Amino acid sequence: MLKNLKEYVKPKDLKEAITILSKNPEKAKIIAGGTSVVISNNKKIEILVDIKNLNLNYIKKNKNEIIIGATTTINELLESKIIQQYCNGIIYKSAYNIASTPVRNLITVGGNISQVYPWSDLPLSLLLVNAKIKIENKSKTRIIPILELFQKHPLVYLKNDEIITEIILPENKNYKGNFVKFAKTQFDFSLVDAAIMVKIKNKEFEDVKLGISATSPLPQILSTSSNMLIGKKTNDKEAINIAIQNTSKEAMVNKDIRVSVEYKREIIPVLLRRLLEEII
Amino acid sequence: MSKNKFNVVNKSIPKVDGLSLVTGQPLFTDDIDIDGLLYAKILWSPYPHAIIKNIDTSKAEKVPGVKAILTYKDVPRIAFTTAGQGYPEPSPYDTFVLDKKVRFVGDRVAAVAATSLEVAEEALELIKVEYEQLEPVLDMMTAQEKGKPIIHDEKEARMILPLHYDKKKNLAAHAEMSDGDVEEALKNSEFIFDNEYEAHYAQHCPMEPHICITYFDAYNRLIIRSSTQVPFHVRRIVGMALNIPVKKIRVIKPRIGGGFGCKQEVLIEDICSALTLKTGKPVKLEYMRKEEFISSRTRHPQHIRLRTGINKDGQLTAIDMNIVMNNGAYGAHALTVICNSASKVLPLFNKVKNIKFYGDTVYTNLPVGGAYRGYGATQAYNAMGQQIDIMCRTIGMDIIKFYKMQHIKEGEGSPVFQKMGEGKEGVEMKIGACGLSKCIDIGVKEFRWYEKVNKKRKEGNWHYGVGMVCLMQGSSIPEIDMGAAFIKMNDDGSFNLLLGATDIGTGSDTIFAQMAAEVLTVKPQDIIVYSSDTDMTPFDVGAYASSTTYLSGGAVIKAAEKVKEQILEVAAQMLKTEIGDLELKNASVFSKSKKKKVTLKDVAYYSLYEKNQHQIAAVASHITHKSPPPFSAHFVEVAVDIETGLVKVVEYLNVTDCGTAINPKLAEGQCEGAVLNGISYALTEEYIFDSQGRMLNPSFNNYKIFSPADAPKIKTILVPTYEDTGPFGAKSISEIGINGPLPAIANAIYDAMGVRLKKGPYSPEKVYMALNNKK
Amino acid sequence: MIKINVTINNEKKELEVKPYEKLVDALRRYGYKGTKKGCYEGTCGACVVLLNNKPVNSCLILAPAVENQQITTIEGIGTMNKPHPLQESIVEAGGVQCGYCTPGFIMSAYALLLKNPEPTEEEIKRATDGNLCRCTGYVKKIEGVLKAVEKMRGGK
Repeated sequence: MLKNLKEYVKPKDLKEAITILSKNPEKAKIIAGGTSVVISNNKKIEILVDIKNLNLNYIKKNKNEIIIGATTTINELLESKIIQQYCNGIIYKSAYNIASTPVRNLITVGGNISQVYPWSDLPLSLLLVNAKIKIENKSKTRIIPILELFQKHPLVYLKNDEIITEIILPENKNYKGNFVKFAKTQFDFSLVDAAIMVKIKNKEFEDVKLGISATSPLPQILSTSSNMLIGKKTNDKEAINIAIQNTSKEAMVNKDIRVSVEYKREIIPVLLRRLLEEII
Repeated sequence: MSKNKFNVVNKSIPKVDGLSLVTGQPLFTDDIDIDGLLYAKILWSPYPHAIIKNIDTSKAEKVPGVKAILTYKDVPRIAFTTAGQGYPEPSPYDTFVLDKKVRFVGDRVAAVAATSLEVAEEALELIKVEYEQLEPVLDMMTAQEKGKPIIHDEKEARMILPLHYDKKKNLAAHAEMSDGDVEEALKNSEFIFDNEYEAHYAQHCPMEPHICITYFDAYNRLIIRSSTQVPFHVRRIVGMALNIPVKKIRVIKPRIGGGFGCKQEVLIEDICSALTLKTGKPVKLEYMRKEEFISSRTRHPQHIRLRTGINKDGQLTAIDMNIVMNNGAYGAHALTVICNSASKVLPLFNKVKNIKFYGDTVYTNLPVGGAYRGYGATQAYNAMGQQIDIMCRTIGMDIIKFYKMQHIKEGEGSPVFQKMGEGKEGVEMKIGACGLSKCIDIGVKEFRWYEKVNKKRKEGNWHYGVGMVCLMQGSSIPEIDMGAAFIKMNDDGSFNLLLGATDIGTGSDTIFAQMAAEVLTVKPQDIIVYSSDTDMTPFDVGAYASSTTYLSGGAVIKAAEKVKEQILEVAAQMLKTEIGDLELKNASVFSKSKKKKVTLKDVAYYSLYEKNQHQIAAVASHITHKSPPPFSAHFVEVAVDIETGLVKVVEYLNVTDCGTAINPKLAEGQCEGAVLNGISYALTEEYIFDSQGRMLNPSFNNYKIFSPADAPKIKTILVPTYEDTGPFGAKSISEIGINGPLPAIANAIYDAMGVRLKKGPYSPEKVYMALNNKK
Repeated sequence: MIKINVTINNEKKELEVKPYEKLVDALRRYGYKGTKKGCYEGTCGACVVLLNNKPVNSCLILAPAVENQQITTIEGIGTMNKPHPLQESIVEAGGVQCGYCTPGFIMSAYALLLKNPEPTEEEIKRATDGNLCRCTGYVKKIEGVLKAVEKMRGGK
């Protein structure tokens, strides 16, 4: 229970929202879907700033980029043809198994990447596609690569009066992506998420990104393993094998009460290999 | 087999409460508004084993809105058992409303009643407790060893029946039996198998957690409105624990959001009532989901060592079952569950002349075991069902042939029935209806068993396999439990049926309406059922031991027959003829000789208003004299992902003999729910503890049960038989289904991959590790 | 306490709520007892209602958030005298046992049928993937929905 919540504010525009947040650094927080904050029992919160009516839920194409408004819900993301087709569906696939239908009507894209949990699915795919994040605060608007947001945890990176307003997906021309969530049941937190983005030219890997999440606080790109594939032929089974096997060693895997670290290390290469085989 | 044709019984009529439930009518415990309601919250122990050296509630009491805080100092020190069983209970009296000692993480320390939940929570945080931590006992296998801390060292803890109980050794119960000479038989067997199996912790996960509202009515009587399976036991046990005479208490059971056994317990009514006594006000206590996992009741974990002897021709020569069972911190159901492990499993193999059973139930400083669908049979069938598969594969015998050869048949008995009761001596029994062979045959055909077994079918990285198991359970606890029903007639020829039997979502109200309607030749809609109110309905032990159809149904039929007699008497007066001339049919009484009839409505009017006015009504009670088992054959196909260990159930078939299914759709529903519960128990459900016995995953986030998206194809086929001693030939059905998946899926995984998992859940990691160790 | 205007089952209502009061509690306090609490943290679906025709967990929403919006609860789609085909069919199919999860399940199915009147079994399972049930094994719940689809197709 947010026992000390006194005001639930619906600002008429972003400026007003940011102003309220600015003026109340400890006590005011943004709420969009609310799936994190409503069950947080955070006693410091006295003001909630509802940003769902600021027209920030849209998905549109801008030249070759896709712009996603931050309060777009996961189900809205899934209904978008643009998203379904983007990069072989990597974003679509990463969103498909998030939580359950009614919860997907609440979770917002912006909320999901600011509240990153180890088992969050969307941050991994956004990381792999090199998404850009538009952030507004009282003085300026800036666009940062998602990698910058994930250097530390977004909750630490973002100041209290900063709002993510857009997620921008670059063209990633000729890239194909793939994503798999490994969990025990459908409506479940991921045990391991795996994702890939590859650019193939003349049956050769021109660029490769292998990524995982649910093994550490933030999603990871396994660059060393990924680089082992660049320049190799797509039918070079041995090279693929070496690179895939290396992911097990390269991945940072933290303790999880549900399964052992050893097990996660065993299945990381399995999942990544399968994603590759589906694409090649 | 009787070929009765029924008018209303054996029909899938819609549940009498169905339309109300699907339109969201306010039927559950929490669905009422009470003026001045206070909200209760419990302070739980953070330690597995500790003494409360000092508890200071002074700060908490000052919080505005706090109306009462109770600690062990404020309640009577009377030991009782929370187990919802008939008196004298065969469970140890080892629980207090509040105690000076805490015995598991999640045990009660104090209770607060306040004007809102927020205030109650605030007060909880201000209660200062000083604990003296004691060494905890966290391993059931070593709990009895010399030098281990004694969990129940209080003098009051005792068994009130002369049963084996040794609290100094942390032994909450013990049972044993033997027949023949097992050691000799094993020596002379061509093959001996000796394996250890385990059944793990699980929770019932009713969608409605425990909840209770207590208040004083206008006559100063304590009213307990509770989501309970055992209203009459609640009344008696709360009365005992708080020193209140039974006549001052009324227990009402509204509609319940599932129980599955965890509400066969006097779990929260005592403390809620204590708060109402202290404040004079209505108090609501509802468990949050986390509390439901930690501080309610669980499946009893068991460690089973099973030795069996078998000859090449498939004759089982000896069975030796040795069980250590973990009851957790308190002894509810300690004896009866472990007895059931023997009494619901061993008799299935009644041709074995040499049997031995030895069971110890121990205390540990862990969450408390309680009644859970299956009730000991679930755990024991994991062992037996897998051992049979192992034996058959080793000696090269067809498991189908094995079961058909070995299983108990109509007219046969077993020494186990007599030797293993549930606390008292058992009751000798000869099997009445037994459709198991038919169930097996139908299942083999429908499932295409022989096309699938031993085939090692592969599709990419998915390896397919099949497994099967045969089961029996029981119906009621003979000679011990009793149910009663009262029927009265209304002006329009309808009837009120008042009975104690508890509908916990199973649909028992509906099938009783069908039964009464069948006897009285009316439509089920003409029977208005009201159940489980200790003031308004006659006694019934409650919903457990698969009793409701077989036991309480017997009372309903008796009462209906008595009412029918009275109707005929009145009709005889009205038609001026003898009773022998009359027939009750289609809601009318016909005089065969005069070719005249009177409707039931006519009879009602005459009896109420015209002559010799009296209320046509009757009460009847019933006890059972045997526990006729339902039988079931389960078949499952699984697919195992060889690279990750993930197991998926492709298809599950259960073929079940429950005697007559009073309401086939409801009976199927019981099977389907039980089977799916068993499947997630086998694959995904588990309690994760830290080194201090703290449960780490008390939420559906990390304690996984299946959602519709996971639901595999489950098919149920009911095989009708006719149990002569049962209401319209019925036995029971609600528990048996949950016992199949744990062994059947293990057998199927073996069929697919050649690895055997003797302890669930068969998680991807467990399967993966087993596959790779094998390599 | 704050006052919010919200439309519930096509009726304009003014609710007085605490700022931190969850929608499920507010609804139940105002008499909509059909919406249930099973976990209070968005994991079981017993509290599912429709918000602007989309199914959501009302235990994850604060009451002030729904000001000026449309809520549909189980009471809004049918009555005992005139049940919605979904409600009727689930009873007929034997898909309601204890009934505690059922209002939430029906609301999820109802929302699906608004968008997709001819769903496959897979689509029904997906639409109700957030509604846990411990009683039925889902078999007859899904059958009930399919039955309702048939009825509604016939223009009932």
